[in-house]
Amino acid sequence: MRSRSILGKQGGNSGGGGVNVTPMIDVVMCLIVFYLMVGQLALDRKSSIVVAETVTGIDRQDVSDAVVIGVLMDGGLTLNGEAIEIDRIGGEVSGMIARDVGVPIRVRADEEAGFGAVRPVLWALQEAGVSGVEFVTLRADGGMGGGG
Amino acid sequence: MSRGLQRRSVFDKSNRRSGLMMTPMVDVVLVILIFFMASTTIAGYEWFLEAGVEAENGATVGAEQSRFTLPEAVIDVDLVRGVDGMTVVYGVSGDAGIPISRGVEMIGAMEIGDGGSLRVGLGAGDDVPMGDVMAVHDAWNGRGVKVVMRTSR
Repeated sequence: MRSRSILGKQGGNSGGGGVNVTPMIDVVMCLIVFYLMVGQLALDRKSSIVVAETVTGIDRQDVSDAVVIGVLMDGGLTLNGEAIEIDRIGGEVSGMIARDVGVPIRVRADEEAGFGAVRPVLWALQEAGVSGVEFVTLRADGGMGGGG
Repeated sequence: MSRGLQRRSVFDKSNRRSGLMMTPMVDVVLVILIFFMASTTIAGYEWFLEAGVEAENGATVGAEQSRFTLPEAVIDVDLVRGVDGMTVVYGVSGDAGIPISRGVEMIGAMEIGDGGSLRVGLGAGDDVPMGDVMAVHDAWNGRGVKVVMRTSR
């Protein structure tokens, strides 16, 4: 009686064997989707920011290399997803600008947050030498904008 | 034992069809489809409204201008929380304050040409929600007017 290998070879001497990649891709893709979704859920729980909807805006695809300052509904602040105190924002941002000149500075403010929570962030950015920011908004249906 | 009653082994390849196997292909394609659907949801449909930040001395920040060019016209627009909890816009209709919905309409109907030589200094009270600030910002942006956030201390 011939033994069967899990790699699909019969008795080790018949041809056509090798690693069966189809179930491997299947499982790996399932794991990627799983971690992607879990990561997103964790991120949402950490910073549940609902941004305002706008009809105009600039569509950019360079999300990964931007400095994103989050302003939560209760006035709490995050810098690239991590909670931060207002006193540290200026220093952190100026360091990031020095490392990566021209990096876009984005403010992701909850639509229910008061402007009083955003103003200190703008002060900190002023002190860091930032002259312009991009407010993150949600694209309304039928919105119009330019590429970037 | 006759041929008709013979038990078939699951490993018997003698009668297996050759050619493209659809089942694992459909399997993998579906997983890839789910992956891209999940990625798209995560990326979201967000975009960005550009705004200048007022300089520390209170001047609006912009490109250096030649002494031969006319300075940009600046309109100060202020948002204040009214007694009824609604946001009121000042600076759009003379000195009078108007409800934000009316203010956004008026900005959309203003005759301001291409808006390129106009700049709006947008300020707001501490209790004005960012949703309202963004609505006014959006209205000016739609007219091609640059917005600078006023953050007077």
